[in-house]
Amino acid sequence: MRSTLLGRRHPRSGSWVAHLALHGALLAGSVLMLLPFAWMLSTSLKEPREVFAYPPVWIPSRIAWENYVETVSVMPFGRFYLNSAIVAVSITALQILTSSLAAFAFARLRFWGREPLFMLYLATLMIPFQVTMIPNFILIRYLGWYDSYKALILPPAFSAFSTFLLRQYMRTIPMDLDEAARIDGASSWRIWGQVIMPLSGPAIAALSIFVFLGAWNDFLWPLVITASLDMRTLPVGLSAFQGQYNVQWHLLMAGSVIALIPVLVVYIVAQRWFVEGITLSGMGGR
Amino acid sequence: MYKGRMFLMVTWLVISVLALGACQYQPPPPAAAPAAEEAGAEEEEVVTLLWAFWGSPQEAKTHQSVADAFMAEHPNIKIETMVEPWSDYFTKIQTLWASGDPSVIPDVLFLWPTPRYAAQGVLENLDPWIEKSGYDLSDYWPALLESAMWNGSVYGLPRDIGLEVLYYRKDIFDEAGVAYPTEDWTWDDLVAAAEKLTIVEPSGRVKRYALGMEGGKYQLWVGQNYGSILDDMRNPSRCTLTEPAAMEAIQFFADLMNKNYAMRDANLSQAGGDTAVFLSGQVAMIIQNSSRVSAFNEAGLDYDVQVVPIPKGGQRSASAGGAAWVMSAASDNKEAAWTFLSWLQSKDGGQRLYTESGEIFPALKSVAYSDVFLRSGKPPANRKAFLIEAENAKVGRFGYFDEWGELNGSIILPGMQRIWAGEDPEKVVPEVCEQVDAFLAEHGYPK
Repeated sequence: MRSTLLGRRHPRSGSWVAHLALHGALLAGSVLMLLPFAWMLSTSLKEPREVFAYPPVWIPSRIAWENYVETVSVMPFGRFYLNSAIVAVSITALQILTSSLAAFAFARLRFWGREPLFMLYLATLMIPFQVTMIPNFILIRYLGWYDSYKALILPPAFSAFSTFLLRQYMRTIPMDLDEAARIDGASSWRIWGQVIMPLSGPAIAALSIFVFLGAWNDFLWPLVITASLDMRTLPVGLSAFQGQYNVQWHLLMAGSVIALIPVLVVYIVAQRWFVEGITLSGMGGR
Repeated sequence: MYKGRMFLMVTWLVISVLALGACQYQPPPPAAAPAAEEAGAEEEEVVTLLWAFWGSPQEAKTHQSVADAFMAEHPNIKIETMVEPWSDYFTKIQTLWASGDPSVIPDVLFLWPTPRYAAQGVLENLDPWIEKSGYDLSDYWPALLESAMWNGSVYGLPRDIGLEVLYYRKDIFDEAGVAYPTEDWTWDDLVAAAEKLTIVEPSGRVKRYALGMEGGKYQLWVGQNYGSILDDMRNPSRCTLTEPAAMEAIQFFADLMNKNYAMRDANLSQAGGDTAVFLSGQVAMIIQNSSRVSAFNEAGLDYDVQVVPIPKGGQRSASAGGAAWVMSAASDNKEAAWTFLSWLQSKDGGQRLYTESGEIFPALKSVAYSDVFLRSGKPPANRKAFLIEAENAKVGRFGYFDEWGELNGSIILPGMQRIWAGEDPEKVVPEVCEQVDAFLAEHGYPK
């Protein structure tokens, strides 16, 4: 790794101290970040009476694998998983499609009223979801989509935020490319598909990650729009371990570990895009 | 180069569209259109009711078995269930009510606090139904029905009564050489025992507290000492916490914490609540309702229960409140809904099944005094303690007017939290009362 502090590859004598300090700081930071995850894993393998033991127990006196068995058996976890995967993947694909088309229009096509329309579109970002939730719900009921995949996937398939992000990126692509393609007889569709989209790769990759994570973790909409256990997604299913009087922490944590695995895999596979996406959009820590 | 990317994108889209198509989910026919089934010779219409409740996965199983038992007795009524976790249940139900769509609104549902929702007009007034069917209200514990009444009418039938008893760990008492709590225990006896049960390490860290009790339950002490939060819990005109009876009780609870006999409220929630600290032995006693019994039995604790100690010359003052079964005003099967609701709250119906599950202390006296509760064969041994508290239960913990939730949540509880964190009641309570009075005046009380 090349240290930004030093700015050179072969540190001379004395600079290894800075190196050490830097890595020490980074190490401390990562320990701080990883501790909660370690605690989650540890709690998920404890018996209930050890969860809040004092002094804290890191290694359970007996590894309670049965927590995982119980978590999976009291709830149709496989089904929640499948639902979450279907919903998150579909929302991501559809949202990239719709917002890239809209962004293309706002960034590359000239038409009357473009800017005011875009401003209006952006203004919807100011309205909190809780305000539109009940009208949305009534609309979905009216369409007969209550408690179905359509209700889970289609409303979040359109996003002003994603449109904004892609538009900003597309505006950085030189207009000469569109003009050259047009002179060669390409339609707007073709310019979108063969010129602009391939060039927007980094933005789309970054956006996909955020949209996917957002959809994977979304709670309120899936909660109100689904009724049967079969249509529940992971976050809604997990919250069932929080009762009126007590929380079954060991099961909740076991469920959280199970739910976290795919996100972890996505992260490890797409690590490079994550870093690029955060620097590109300034959306760290969301 | 870009061909590869395009190909990927198209594939991705195709897959997601296929996934959408493959998983076409057919929603069940709405309750509004009951499917007419041919029941052999007699063409009996089957009515479908939507029944909603909150609960852990285990509790949901109990609810489902109750629904099955009802359907076995009533073949012409089909019960569909909807379960939500406690923390999200109310969000969901209010969204459904706001939609005003009878096909998705539950016909019968679990609710707390009933008066608040009754005031919003979403609940069916049960008075006419009770009158018509001759349902017996006299079997409920005293003052319990009031927690489900509004404007003088019954809007819900409480399933259980959330009164507190004193749980104590026998093994800790034995180890400390302290005699078990008795029915005659006063506040002084509690303090004397607490002195022996509390262990403070030289470093000043409390290794074991005598008592774990949520700060929000302070009203129990106030009521025992003949004090009250407001002068009238239905139509209040002023805050009465500053009166000597109430102040004495608040001071008593604050002293327990200041002397390290009771855990501070913030520490208690930090440590995972009273169940967790009782299980781990960080406290020797807790004061809590019957909901803890199944957790302690599951963990195989050596424990028992006793009535809550009262001040000399004081009274028992358990809280008469409990979540109730209600009917939606928007239900389009009210006849069947009442049949189900009244069966849920009958001695041989739902009440017996819930009591057998060990999850509740029943709302009906006849069930509590029957062997189903008293001789269940499971701990705690001294189940009589619940009966004694129930016979003396009183209104007073909760206000039965529309703005109570807001008043309690935004003014009273945060104010009391300052005391549980160590501030002087003499200073805090008058400030809280001043704010309460201002709030009441602002909202036009007394009405």
